[in-house]
Amino acid sequence: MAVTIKSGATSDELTIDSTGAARFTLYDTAGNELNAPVSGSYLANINFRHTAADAANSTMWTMRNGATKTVYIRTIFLTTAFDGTAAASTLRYSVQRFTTATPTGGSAITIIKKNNSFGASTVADIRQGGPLTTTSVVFENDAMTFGMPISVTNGIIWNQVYLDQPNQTYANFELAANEGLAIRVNSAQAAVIGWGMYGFVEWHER
Amino acid sequence: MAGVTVQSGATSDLLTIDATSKAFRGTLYDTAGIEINVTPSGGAYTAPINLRHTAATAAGSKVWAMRNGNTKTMRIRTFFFTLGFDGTAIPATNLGYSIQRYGTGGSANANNSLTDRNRSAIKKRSSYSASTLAGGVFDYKDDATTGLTWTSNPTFETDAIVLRFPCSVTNTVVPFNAYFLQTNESFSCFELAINEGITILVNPVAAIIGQSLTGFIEWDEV
Repeated sequence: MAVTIKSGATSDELTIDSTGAARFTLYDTAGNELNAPVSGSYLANINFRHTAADAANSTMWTMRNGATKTVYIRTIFLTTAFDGTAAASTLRYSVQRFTTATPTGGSAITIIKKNNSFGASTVADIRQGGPLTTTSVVFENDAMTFGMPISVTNGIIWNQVYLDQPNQTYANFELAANEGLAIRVNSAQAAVIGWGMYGFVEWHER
Repeated sequence: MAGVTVQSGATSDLLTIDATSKAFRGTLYDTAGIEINVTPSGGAYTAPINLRHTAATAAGSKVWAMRNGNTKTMRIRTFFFTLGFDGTAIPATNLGYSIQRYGTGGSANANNSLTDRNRSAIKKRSSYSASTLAGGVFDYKDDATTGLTWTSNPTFETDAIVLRFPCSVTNTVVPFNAYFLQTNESFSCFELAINEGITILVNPVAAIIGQSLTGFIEWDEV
């Protein structure tokens, strides 16, 4: 005689699909759902080439989360390239979280939904260029550094950072409400004309 | 017949069926009883690597180090490195680094030439507690012929990872990305037990001005 299985917490009953398989959802022992559904998944391009020797710590690309969701950065795909005059130097970009204020200047970036049925992104502001104006912005220390030597011109390097793993949402780089992510010229040196960054940042929201 | 509830054999806890999905909640364990994909009780962190030698740092010098504290295990998920060289080419020469774990007994001195802002671990979620890193910081040094100094010499393991690149032509750049952690395989991380550390040392020859190692290390704390 078949029996149904009822939740111990409510009156909900287990569904067995027509395939004969029971439905189950993965949780960890802290009660967190692994692979929780997202409200959307998005991309934004990175596309900037220095036309001036922008100072160390110049901020070139930023995104700032809105107030209602968490942004889970899955991928940073940052190609750096150099077409300028060679020099015995290694240029570096840094990735940093920021809070408190929204950068201004540069040009707005259009956020692309990975599925057009998703709602608009919760990201409140995203821009690149400049350098951007960062009045009252509070930056954390560098989370990552991406370097490339420029002792010969025409260099390029791909930095493909995959933060996400299935069943490990905690592995993403998270932006809580009103937090932001910035790509900046590292403190170690100024930019050189002809240095550029290209690629994209990919994230979920929930 | 009304549905039956399923009760744990170990406690009085009852199985939950979620309202929308009508799916039961399950957690993956291995046959040894260890939870797979455990969410870190501590948190998840990164530390940047930002070395460019401005001096001929001697072979064997430790130039970057971090040591675990005494309460959690550090599970290193990723070494994301870019090796580079912008100096004067030297024929028939390989430059490089090695990565070694070290045991208890000592730690690197805070002894670097750059400002402190580059020395703290970064939380991947800002609500996490501070990293369990000893002192909350990593140490690095790329501006002298000697590397980090040590309060007392710990026992260094042999090379776990070897990074090499030629410098017979300038402007070498080499990516080195090691993703240790795989889905459902927490055991595949490179682990630092309590008080263990990890160091990057110049190897096999002295560094040359213009030699660089940039990137980051990523880990969970459980």
